[in-house]
Amino acid sequence: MNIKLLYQLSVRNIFRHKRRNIMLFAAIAVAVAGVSSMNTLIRGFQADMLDSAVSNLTGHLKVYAPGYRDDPSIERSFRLEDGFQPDIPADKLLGWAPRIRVPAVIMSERETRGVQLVGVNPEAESISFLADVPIDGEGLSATQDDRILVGAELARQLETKVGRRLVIITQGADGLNRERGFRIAGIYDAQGTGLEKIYVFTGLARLQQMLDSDAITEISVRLKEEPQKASVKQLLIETFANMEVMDWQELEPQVAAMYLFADGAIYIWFILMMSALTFGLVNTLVATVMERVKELGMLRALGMRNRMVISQVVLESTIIMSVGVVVGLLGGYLIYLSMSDGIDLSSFSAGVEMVGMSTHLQPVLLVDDFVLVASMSLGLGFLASVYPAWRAVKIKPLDAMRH
Amino acid sequence: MLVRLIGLAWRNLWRNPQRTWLTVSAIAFAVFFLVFGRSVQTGSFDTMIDNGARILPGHLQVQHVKYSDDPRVDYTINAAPALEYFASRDEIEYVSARTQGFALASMGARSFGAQIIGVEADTERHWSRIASMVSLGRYLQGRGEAVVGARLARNLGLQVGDELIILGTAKEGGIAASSVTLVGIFSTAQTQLDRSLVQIHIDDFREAWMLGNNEAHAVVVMASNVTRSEVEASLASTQLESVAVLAWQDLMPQAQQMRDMKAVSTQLIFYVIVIVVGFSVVTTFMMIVFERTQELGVLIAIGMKPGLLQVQLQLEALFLAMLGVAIGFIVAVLLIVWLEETGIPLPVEADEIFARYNMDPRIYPSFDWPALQMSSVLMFVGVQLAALIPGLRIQRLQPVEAIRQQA
Repeated sequence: MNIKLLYQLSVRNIFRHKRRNIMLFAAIAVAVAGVSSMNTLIRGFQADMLDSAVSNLTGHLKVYAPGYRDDPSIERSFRLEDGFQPDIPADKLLGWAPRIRVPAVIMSERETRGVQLVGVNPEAESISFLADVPIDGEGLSATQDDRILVGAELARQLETKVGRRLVIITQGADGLNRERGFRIAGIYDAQGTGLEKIYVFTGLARLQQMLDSDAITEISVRLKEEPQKASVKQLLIETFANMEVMDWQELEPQVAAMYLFADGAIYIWFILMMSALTFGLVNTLVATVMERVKELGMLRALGMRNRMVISQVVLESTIIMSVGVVVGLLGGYLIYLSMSDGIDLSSFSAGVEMVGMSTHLQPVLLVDDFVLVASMSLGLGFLASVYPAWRAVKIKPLDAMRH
Repeated sequence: MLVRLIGLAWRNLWRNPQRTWLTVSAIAFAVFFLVFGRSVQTGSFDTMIDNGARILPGHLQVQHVKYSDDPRVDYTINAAPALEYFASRDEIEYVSARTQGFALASMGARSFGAQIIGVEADTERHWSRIASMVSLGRYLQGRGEAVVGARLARNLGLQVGDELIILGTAKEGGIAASSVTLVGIFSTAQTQLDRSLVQIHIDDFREAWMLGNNEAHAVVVMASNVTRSEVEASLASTQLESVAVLAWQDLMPQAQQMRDMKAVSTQLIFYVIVIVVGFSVVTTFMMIVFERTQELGVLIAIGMKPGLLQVQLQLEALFLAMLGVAIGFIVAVLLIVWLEETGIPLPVEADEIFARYNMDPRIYPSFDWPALQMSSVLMFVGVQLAALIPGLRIQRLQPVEAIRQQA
């Protein structure tokens, strides 16, 4: 089979109807650009969801004492040796943080609210959202810091401000309630998210003192790359033999499921766009075959084989598709660039928080997605040429000459 | 003349049935996608909003003006006139008063912060999903009783029949204290509620928080088709002062916004599909004009005005659009009518997520008229434009050359 001849034939056929094929290229390009730029938004959404889930004190992996998740109290805790370092290779570990997290009641002179009281080592909290949020006043300085950090929304509800005192009631290690006053060091602004109402932070050592305990309730581990979590999880299970080691997918099953849904959405958009396109593509390919009945009949009469005829139609379809895909991917890339500052979703803030996103959607371009769109499109170009090729093969030389 | 043109256009369409059907299918697909897609979305949002309203907030609430921004125990309203007003209206399904406050819920030595809601149990039991989601024991029946969320019960080590102590800040800074018997435990799949919600009888709440007999923090109304402005207008004429009327959009802003956000993204995708289909239709008309070059040349040579040929082409476009829109619409309607009965099952693994968004495990589409209007208008206009572009060639056609051309 002469590939060069086939190629020449196909290209010439395409040039025969320049304007019509330009329309077809445009249709393919718009569909491909639409799908590929939509993909960058979906990936951005996923990255954002993962980031919010992981930085909301979850981390990629977490270690708990058995039973803590059912009954979050200081009684379900564990001790770390002095100078403890988790046995994780430095090239994988971004950071780790020991914490105490217990439910507590917080009271101002005017109002009372239920919160999660979190004792932290401020230096270790570079792995959580605490490191990124703007703070009015001061952050916590050390693990002995006996002041607290509250969210802006909580502060508003309690009608309090930086420097004022709040009373916190929580349950100590002996099961009895402790009540103590704390001064507000700072008020953090987590962009109006629910975090602001839930978490109140103080120094870890100070909270241990208040609870009469030298233990912690959790270790949160943040990795450099998400896919490394499986191997590190194994390491942690070995280190903490009797503890519960969980990854973010187990801790946030709803986020994990949404994440998978978004993966599926990429295929759904592709199928939708490409279905719309297929009608036009098949239409044009059939027309190019039918316009050439005479010519194809002649070629067949001269001895061109079925295989040649089929290859020629398939090749033509593939070339049309390739040109369209290249232009479309370029277009998708340009759209991606034009969105590279991110998209502001703040007018939907409560809605986006409900699905676990922040109000700023930053598109993410994955080369793999572009390759996926390109290869699926070429596959579709091939499929779309099957019927027209079959029509071409069915042409009988005699009938065609009479046409 | 026009009648003859219409006849010609229709017959021309069926000279190449395969091409006509492929083009019609493309148009039908776009219409189907938008009508069906939007109907599924509308259906799922209707369920989401209704279920969301039933879990706690109701469709409408009347509150003290300052309460929604700053939910203080002191910001109460006199519930009597509002209750009276709503009771007099037929389209209201249920209406009752509610009191709410924050308190420490204790059992033995253990205490957790909790949201305490005083409800008129006899009314709320009919619509509240908290009532239908009691998984252990039963819902409230009378005074001295409480139902709590499953997580809170577990955290406190509470079991049905146990005594629960509630301690909070009453009106004007006093101490609110109450002792109630746990009669039921509910699980809603919404962690926040399961972890922090306690419901008690409204009169127990009033007694503990030192509120008057008609004092309430909210009057909660179940009525899906009453709008806020309507209620505001009629309440203004009653003696109620400084109250705010909050509709479900205010009570559940996230649901409204999610709905808007989804609508925007569906529309974006639809526009891209319209453009893709539009280009395909343009190629169809290019093929039509190309194939008929010879015959068009003959027609012009014997005196047919090019303008009329253009009109004929636009008529063909009109028929294509009509067929496409009709088929897309019919398929969408048939599917929607069928699914309105049976519902679209969602993956079982996703149950928990959907429960979190107040959705049922099945989606029941509900027909979305604006989507049909929008998609048909866009399709009719788009297909007309698509016919116009290749039609320009007719204007410039030289009869002699055209007739000579090999088709």
